[in-house]
Amino acid sequence: MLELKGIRKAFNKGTPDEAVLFDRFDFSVQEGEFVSIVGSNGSGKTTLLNLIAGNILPDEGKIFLRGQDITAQKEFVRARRIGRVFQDPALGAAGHMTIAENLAIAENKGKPFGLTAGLSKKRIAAYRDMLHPLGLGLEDRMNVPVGALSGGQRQVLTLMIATLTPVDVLLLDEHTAALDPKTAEQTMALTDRIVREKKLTTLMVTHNLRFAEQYGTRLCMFDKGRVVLDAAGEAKKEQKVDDLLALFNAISIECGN
Amino acid sequence: MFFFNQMGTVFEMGFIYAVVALGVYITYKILDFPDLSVDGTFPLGGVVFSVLLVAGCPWPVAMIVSFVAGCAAGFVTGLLHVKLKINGLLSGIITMTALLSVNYLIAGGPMVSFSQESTMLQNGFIGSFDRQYAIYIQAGLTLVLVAACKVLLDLFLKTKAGFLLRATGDNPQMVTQLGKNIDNYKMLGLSLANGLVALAGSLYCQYNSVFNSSMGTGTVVIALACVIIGCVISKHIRVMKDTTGVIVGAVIYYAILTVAMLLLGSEYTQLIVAVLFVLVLIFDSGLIGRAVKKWIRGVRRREGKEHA
Repeated sequence: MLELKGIRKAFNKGTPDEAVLFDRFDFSVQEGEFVSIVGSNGSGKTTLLNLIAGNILPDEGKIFLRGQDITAQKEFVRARRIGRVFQDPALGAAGHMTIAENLAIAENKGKPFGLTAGLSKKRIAAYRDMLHPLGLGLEDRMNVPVGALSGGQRQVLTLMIATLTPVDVLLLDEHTAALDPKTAEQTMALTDRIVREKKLTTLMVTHNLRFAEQYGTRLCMFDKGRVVLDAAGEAKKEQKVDDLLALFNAISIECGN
Repeated sequence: MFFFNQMGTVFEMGFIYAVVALGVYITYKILDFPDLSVDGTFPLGGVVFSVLLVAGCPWPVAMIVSFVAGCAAGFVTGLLHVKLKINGLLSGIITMTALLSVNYLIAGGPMVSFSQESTMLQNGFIGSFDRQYAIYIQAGLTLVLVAACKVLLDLFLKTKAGFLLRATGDNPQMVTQLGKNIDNYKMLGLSLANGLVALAGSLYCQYNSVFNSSMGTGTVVIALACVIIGCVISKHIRVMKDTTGVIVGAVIYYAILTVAMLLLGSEYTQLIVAVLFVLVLIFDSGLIGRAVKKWIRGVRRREGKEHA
């Protein structure tokens, strides 16, 4: 359902530092897949997400979403069908606005933002019910500005916001990397639950090899703009963290770091 | 009696600049955009109003047109910034510079005087009172207009479009994720803000019954000082909205400015404006608060030693 064909992407083009990351790169994701992507820094994981989201454009090649060519679409146009959670919890919600206000604008995604009331009092009960199962007590802090929440709480809220309205693809960009181990664990478990419940096609970039092994239906390892490991279904279940680590180290040694 | 008169002027000028400050509040606080076009759009509102009035246009219509002219100028700043990707600060400076000529061309000279025309702040009814009472009536009328602007702005900020405007300044990436173009919301905010500033410009000219091309000098600095004072106040008073704080801030600012001008003389005005702005900024950053605490601690310690 998501296809990247013949992608070329170089950085610092036209300078002596030109670095070609992707060259004739193909990648496709099937409907309902939960792909975990691992790889060292500079391997192209995050660039892949940026290319899909549209905040960087490929030099060559095309990107298709459900058969439609989205290569020329601006980031905000693509975002109507793509949900995204960033590593930085601050990027997910408006910090000066309250939890209720953030959920209200998130819920209105895809509809016109006109001169009607931004926050309907009737919906607050529904937002409470949404937040209650998270067990973070956010349902009692509806009128607290999001900026006053902890990083973990913000990231969980961001996850809610990104998936509140139907999206074709969910992009998770190292979304647990800025959290402490326990919170990261909880956020990851919640992510898995949301993805399963809503049957979301998901791409998750992570540095946590255990998360990559434990969650998702497909595992990819990237190195210098190439996919060096691609295991789905049964093959993925056979992947062990130690094997991944061994491969990861082998790649890193090749690179000389 | 002197004090009574000065108080009237403080309220009148405070309320006029409160309208400017409400506009600057939109760009500076909500959009997080340092908009310097204000120094040009304030006189733009004044000149558009004055020229229309002299041409026989009724004052309410002239005020609405000056608001629209301000919106258009703000829109130009927005276009420069989002379409031509020019830095926000520079976009404002470009518009402000261009408006110097535009205002002069519209006025056809450095001044437009209209002392015979009837306006919101100068008319037969107000003229029938003594000068010292008339100023309070003018201030009252201006307050009604400020309050209307404040209430409308508050209501707008609670709508869906208002929510997105706030989110644009707060977290542009989130607005993008919602499938909306942040460029449009920046231009909307800049238009609204400069519309209010131009409206205030028309009030300023009505109060003086004359347009003077130099009236815009220092507007940004005055308005920013009002906004910062206002937001400090509203932060400490829970029930007070930022928009109310901004209006109170403008009156307080004008009270301080008036006292300083009475002590030093009006030729020091811009110098006082600049120094006041520095004081407001360092007050806001907490430097003064820390220095005062340290000084108090020092005094206590010395007293302690004396007792021992």
